[in-house]
Amino acid sequence: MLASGLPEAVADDEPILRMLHETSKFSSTAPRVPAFMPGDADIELSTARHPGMPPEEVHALAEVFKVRPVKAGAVVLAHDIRRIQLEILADEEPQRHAIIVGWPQHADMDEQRSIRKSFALQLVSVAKLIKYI
Amino acid sequence: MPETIPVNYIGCGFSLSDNSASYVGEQMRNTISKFDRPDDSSITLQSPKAQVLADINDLHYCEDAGLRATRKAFLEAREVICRLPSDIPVPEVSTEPDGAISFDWMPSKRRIFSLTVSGNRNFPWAMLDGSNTSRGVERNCWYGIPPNLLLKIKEISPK
Repeated sequence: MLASGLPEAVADDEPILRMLHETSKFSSTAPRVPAFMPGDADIELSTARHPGMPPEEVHALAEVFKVRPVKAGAVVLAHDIRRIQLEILADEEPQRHAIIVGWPQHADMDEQRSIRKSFALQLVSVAKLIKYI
Repeated sequence: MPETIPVNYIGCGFSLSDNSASYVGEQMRNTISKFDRPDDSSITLQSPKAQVLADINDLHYCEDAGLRATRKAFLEAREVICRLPSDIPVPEVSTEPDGAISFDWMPSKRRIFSLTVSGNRNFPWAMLDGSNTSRGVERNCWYGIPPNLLLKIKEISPK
């Protein structure tokens, strides 16, 4: 058991929250593709384990994560991440922090971006948008 | 006779200084909405494009929670939009982590086409059509989005 009280292994049916800090990362109805794009040099994407937290708890969690204010969240299930051959791992501390790993790397940055984009848009297609502003 | 807005005015070849950006973006929106009447058919056709150009200006000139599109990406994105054929719907735009600009066409959650403009004339792209995904990189695109990609965008767009 982790410090947060959550089990170390992320269950397939666990909701995973990708915090969105920029308004351009989502439309009125859905997250946009860059919401799930890691940076070129990054091999992981930061997320939070999110069992239906109310907005005030998400804002508090953003403070714990020491990230900018959260404007919206894109929620997928751990199963959705694993289905496309990525993996979600618990990464405490901070509590509830989890990372999506397994992002393909390529010597050609444009190729790499195209591959990662194809993963990101599959996550976008199943993500639920939650607005906090 | 309806007044027309020259393409140069709505963004292509437009030069702005950083501190004037928000003001100019607002003025562009006001001007565009002023002329955007159903009876001005030529302007109505251009309006979505003008709106996207204003959004691209915002991505570069107005910091969005610390993230800003690079100048190279901004200039190329503007050009790509200006060269977009009129029968292709305009994309939604957003900034990627390195300051590149993502063009997303998303008529539904199962039909998505996304392309990155980073200022190097190469377009990494990916597409989801139902359960099928495809992806690739188009290189040396000096004249906007190449025809084969325009065809894919048309395929997923509502008829």
